[in-house]
Amino acid sequence: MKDKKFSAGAFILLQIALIIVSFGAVCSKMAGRQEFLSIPFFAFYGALILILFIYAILWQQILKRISLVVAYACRGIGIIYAILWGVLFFKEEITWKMIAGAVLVLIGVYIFIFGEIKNSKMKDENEEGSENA
Amino acid sequence: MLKFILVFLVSVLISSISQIILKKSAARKYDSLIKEYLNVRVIGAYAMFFLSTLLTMYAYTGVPLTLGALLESAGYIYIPLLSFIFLKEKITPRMVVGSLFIICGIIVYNF
Repeated sequence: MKDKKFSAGAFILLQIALIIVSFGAVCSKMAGRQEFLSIPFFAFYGALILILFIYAILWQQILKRISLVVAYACRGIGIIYAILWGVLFFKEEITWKMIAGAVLVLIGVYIFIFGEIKNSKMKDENEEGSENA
Repeated sequence: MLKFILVFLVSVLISSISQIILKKSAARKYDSLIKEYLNVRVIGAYAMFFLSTLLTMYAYTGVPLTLGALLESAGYIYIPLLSFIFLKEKITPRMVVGSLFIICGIIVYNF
């Protein structure tokens, strides 16, 4: 299984998947606010199931293109969308703790994938692929 | 409380193993797009994932939500470890540092 550690296409697909799944949390929270087993409850819960289904389909396509370790680490980016929708839809306030946490996560994801971008570029340029990371 | 924490960690482990199985499936060649999804690995992996969500729900009866979010980040340790063992992925020091940052970020975010 020779998969590229990093590909721009897979990364865009991953962002789309992360945005879609972040709406899942919104639906889940909205469902929790409705009267249990009411029509709006089923609407939001149904939307959540649909979102998870689409996410599962996209996730398999992502795994086909990049390594699991990298794809999994990138899920950390979802924290941004979580904060964004919290503010937009639920008027939640952003605390410094949240910003600091999100920044740390993003640094982590960056450290994680930056080496892979460099690696895959190096491999593209020379097929020999000298091992000096 | 300790029991619930352990159940939570096992649940995250099961869901991480399901990711490994999904990756194993994704690495194979299939005749059609449908078969990329309707095969033993993918269906089995999602069955495991479903089981892990039930376990997580049970664990949450004894674990506060903030601690849960932290315990969930154990995936950032399980996934590289399991990938190294079962997928023969190379784990670089960069990945270890990156994972530590992500986990620290989740701790800061939740506490």
